[in-house]
Amino acid sequence: MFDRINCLLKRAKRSFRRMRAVAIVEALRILRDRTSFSLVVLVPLLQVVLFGFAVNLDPRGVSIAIAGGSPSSQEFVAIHADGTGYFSIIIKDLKKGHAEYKLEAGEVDIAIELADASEFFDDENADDFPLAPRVIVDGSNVSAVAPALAALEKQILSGLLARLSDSVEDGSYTPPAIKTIWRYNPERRTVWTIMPALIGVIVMISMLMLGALALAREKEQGSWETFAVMPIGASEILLAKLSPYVVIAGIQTLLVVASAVLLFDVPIVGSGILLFFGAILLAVAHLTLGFTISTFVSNQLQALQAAIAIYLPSMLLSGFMFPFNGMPSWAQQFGNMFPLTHFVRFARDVMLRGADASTAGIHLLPITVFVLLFGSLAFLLVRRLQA
Amino acid sequence: MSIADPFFPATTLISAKNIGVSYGNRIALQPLSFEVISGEIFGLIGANGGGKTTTLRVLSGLLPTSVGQLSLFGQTGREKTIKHQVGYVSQSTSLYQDLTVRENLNFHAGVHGIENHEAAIENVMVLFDLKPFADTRVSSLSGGWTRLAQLSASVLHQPKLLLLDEPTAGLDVAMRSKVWQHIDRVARQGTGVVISTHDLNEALCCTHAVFLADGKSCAQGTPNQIFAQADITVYLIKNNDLYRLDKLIYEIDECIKCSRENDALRVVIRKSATHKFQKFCQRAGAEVKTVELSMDDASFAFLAGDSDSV
Repeated sequence: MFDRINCLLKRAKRSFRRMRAVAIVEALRILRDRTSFSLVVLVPLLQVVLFGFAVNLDPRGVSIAIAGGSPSSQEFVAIHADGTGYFSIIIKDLKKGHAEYKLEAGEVDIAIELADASEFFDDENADDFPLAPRVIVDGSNVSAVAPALAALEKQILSGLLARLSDSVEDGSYTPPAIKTIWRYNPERRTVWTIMPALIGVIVMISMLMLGALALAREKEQGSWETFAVMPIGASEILLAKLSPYVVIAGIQTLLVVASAVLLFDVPIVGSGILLFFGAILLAVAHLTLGFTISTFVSNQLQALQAAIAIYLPSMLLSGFMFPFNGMPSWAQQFGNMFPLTHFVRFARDVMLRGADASTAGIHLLPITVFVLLFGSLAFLLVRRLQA
Repeated sequence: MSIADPFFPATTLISAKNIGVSYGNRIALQPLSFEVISGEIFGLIGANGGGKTTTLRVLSGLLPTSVGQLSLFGQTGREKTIKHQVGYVSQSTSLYQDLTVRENLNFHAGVHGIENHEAAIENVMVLFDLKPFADTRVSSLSGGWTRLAQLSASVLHQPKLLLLDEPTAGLDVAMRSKVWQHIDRVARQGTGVVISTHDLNEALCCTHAVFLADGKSCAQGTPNQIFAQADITVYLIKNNDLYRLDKLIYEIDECIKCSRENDALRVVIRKSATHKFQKFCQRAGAEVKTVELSMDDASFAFLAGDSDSV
């Protein structure tokens, strides 16, 4: 019995030694791969910072325009809107119809059109109250405005009730019904706001990864040396290597758009061609970024880790999942550095709001600058690799 | 020797003047000078770690020189026109493993802008006996056929200069001979071939060579001249007490290296000490047999004697 226990102990000890040897080698290999190791530390750190300090499910800084009614009724609405804490840009003193115009121009998220008192009462005092407010909401990003709108409606109604408590009690005055119109997404379908952004997210992830792997794979397999000694220029390599991926990005875009339209009835109010062009531009932006990464890394694992370290903040800060305006200013500035942030706005504008090239094109400008910047950088780095 | 062919007037393809490579304070290649002319097979020979691959990487443009001047076809730059005239086979497989042989050749033909490339590919596949493997993925080929496919891709555009980094490493004798047949044929057609090898027999197939050991040029000339400069003879000796023999052999100052080989000792001795060595063997009652020297022996000889660099 004792011998058997002794034997088992010896076997366990030998097994432990073997496992320890394997574990040490594994640990050493992780530690020696500095890029992978630093990314192992960087990615969780990034997540903690972004989720802890940047991402906020409550929207902030929702813009609102108030038009019509009397100056005092506009003031009434403005004060109550401010009181909710959700709104930061409040435009008032607009003539009737102009708030809606500003919403259509994409300048505000919510437009409040107040009726003139003379339409309802002869009483001069009636001018002080927002009568039959018509609230028009940009439904292209439901989650970013819905909580703000709910708070606003509640605030205005409670304000009115407080001021008119006597009249309400004796039945001489009924608070006006707030008529809310969801523009661009009448049924407030969240999927309508997700799908346009999802095109960008899918294109971003796949193109960033494919771009990052492009040269990393060549370096790892040894075929890069062939490129280096062949009579082919850096720009030729860059353009030729990226072109098949652009086609893939095009196919991906068509697939997602077709699924969105056929399965979820998402409309394409604007130009489909413009949307396609934007998606291709986004693909090129991430391919050049991925290509830049692949000039630095030495293997495919490092390339993928670096891609994850980039697409994670890009996705979180783009306004795709969480309200962009709810984030602190530094996070918004950081988010604006990523092409996806601009594409999300562009795609919602084109698909839901029906924006044309002159309006939505403004969102493509930062992406174009990004392409030029990282395209040039990738070119220089490939040329350096060749030399 | 193909360079004597009157139909191919020899032209200088490579002119290296004191080229050297260093990484910070570490010198990977000490200043080295040589010339390669068309139609010759120029060997970068020596034991492992001598600097052969470094030199070849410098010649191919993969590595910049830290000192010296290197010109290919009379030009110091690496313009596309120069690259068009160079073929390169690296030590690792530089073909796309997931593509077939034909697809790889198509890629090479495309990048080199070969006109009528289908005919050129057919031609090269016939020359290298690759027709049966045309539609086989490179990953499915044996090491030897992969190397031949690599070689065929590197000569597809008929370069004037072919750089081969240990093209026969890991191949069996039959495949080595096949690879060398192709190297010979290419050289006979006027292409200058620079080949790195640590195999003595292959080194002897070169027209000219430079012997590299520990990152420096130890000797230069024809292979026979180089090995003569090593000034050594290699013997196998054995008696009943190899242990004692091993200790005593170092009494001969000119003994460069002594190592156990099966039931005998392999002894590398300077030629000048031949008489002394024979006397020693007589005294020890050892059987003596002369054997062919290896690249390692020559490396030891050059380094031990701190031979004059050429």
